[in-house]
Amino acid sequence: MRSSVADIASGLAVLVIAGAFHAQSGDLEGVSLLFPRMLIIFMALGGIYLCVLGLLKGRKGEDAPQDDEPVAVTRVVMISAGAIAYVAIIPVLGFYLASALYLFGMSMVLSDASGGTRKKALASAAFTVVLCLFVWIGFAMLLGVPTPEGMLF
Amino acid sequence: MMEFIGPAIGHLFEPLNILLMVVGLTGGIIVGALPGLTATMGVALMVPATFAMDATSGLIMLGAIYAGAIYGGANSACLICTPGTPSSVATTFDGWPLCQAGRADIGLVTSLLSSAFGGIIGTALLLFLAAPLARFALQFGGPENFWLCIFGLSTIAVMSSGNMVKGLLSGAMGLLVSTVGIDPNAGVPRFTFGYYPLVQGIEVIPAMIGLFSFSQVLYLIGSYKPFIADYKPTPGAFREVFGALVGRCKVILMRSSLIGGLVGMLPGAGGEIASIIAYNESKRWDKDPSKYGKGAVEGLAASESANNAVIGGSLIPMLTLGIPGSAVAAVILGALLAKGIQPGFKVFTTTGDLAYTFIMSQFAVNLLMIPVGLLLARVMTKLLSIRLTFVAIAIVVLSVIGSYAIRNSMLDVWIVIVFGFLGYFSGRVGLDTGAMALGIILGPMIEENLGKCVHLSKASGGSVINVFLESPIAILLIVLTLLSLATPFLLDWKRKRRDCGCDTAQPKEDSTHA
Repeated sequence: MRSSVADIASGLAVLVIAGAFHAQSGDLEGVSLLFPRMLIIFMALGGIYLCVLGLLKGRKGEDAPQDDEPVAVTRVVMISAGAIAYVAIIPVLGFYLASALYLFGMSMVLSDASGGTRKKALASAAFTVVLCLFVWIGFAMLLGVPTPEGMLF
Repeated sequence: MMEFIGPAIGHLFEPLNILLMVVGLTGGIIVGALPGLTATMGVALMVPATFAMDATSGLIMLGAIYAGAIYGGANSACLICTPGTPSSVATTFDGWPLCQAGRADIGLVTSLLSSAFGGIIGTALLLFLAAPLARFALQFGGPENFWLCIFGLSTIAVMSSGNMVKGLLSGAMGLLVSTVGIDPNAGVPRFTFGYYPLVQGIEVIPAMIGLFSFSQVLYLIGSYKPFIADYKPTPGAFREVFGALVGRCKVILMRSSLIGGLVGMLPGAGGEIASIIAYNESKRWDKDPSKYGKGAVEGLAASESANNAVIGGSLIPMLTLGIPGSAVAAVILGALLAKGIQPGFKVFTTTGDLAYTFIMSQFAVNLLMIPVGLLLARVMTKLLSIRLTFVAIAIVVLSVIGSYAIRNSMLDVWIVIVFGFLGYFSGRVGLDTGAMALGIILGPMIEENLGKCVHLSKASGGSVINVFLESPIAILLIVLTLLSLATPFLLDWKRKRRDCGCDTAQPKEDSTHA
């Protein structure tokens, strides 16, 4: 990503967050508003500064590309979508069933298929069973850590 | 005191107590290494088990879990860039670059030895200086605590000296996020965005898991690497690290441990603040601060010795005044009260046997931590030989259970996801997740103490400025903050002067090559 784009994107992100908090601060007053207001003003000024800086860099041709590593966008999107779906189904299926589905599904989708689909499925199933057992024994049995329960299980 | 120390050392050699220390340390290190499971949780979970033991053995085990968990956080901080406990945030700054450079064992051994050293210094403070330090801690009120946090926050300036504006804005973003929920001063719900569960506020630990752990999963999956990092055990790693710590890091270790001990005894200020301040000071005083953040052993030594020294510090007000210096100390205080032991200065006379056995056990625990930690570190480095895809997917599941365990709330699980995306996006556009984390950690303390200062000024009829400047400790902290803020500029000025001097000293053809 070019540094000018990074500056503008970060400036806009800061402005959006400051704006969202400002919109929520309508009913606040006194000491409850003092600290957030100082931060909102600081962030608004900083966000504008970054946007202007990015625009100036772009105009002057000083926006050298940052040395970013290449990103496998598809894999990032898949694991992000998978994680959202996983957290969303926990209240329905319960922690263990949802985790088993997520672990198996994600390892099938994301691990490479060099050894064939059958081998991949076996490895994914073994990984799912081992991790679920580890979590159940380590967290639930030994430490007594509660896990989210679902409507079904 | 001396009449109690001999029998106390004798208690430590009882087989049951040795076993409890080893078990407590092992359990503590594992709990600390798992993101979401904190030292507080580990100690609290084991309190009921101590009811079946005598008070001394129970306390020894709780102390061992506490020390183990604080060190344990460094394992995940180094291996997967995820602070196992909030006090390991600063450990990620240099631990993760070391791991990426294939020197994970150097990072782990440095963390281990520094933690043990810090723990011993913290315990020595507890043993020899408990009474005067407890009196000093009582002088910290709203203004002093406010400036202590601001001093901690000034680390951002040093931390993000490459792009200070983005660092400061990231810190401000973290501070703003920390205001979500009930206002600590007026009790008013704020910034819930129409979603009622947000009244609970943004818990620090799920936010940390999201910023460091889930965002790291996205980063790792997005890379084309088959493993987290290339790793080959370094022959003689222990000797190499020991030599570095005894040689060039001895001042850093001592300074950071003292910072940890002093910060630890202040109620509310814990390992997270101590390690960040120690890291900042270490970088500020170093002749070559540019190496920090790139896998510097010095950075790890500062962070880890400080957060383990906090343990001894936090036990000072707990044992002498009955005021816990940290959440874990509060849990241990509860265990003491459950056994019918009333903390206070008398604890050192009426129940001196118990108090000194507990203190001496902390020395033993920190020494035992070295073999136990080395053995576990060897097991944990095996993580680096598992395929990245499996590790990344497993981290997501562990993050979910770890965050849910904090308050038994799905809100915290969603916080992990949201902050994970925020952390990943921030990393892509150059915002600083470390500074953001610092803001989230320090925000509630800053606002609470700011509120106290405002109320104090109203009560006294003066201005807030007077309240801020009325104590010598506050003025000292302000001076330190200003020095800390000026450091990047001074370093830059020094570097420019040096470069300027080199250019003029070098032959002309050399400067053209440059």
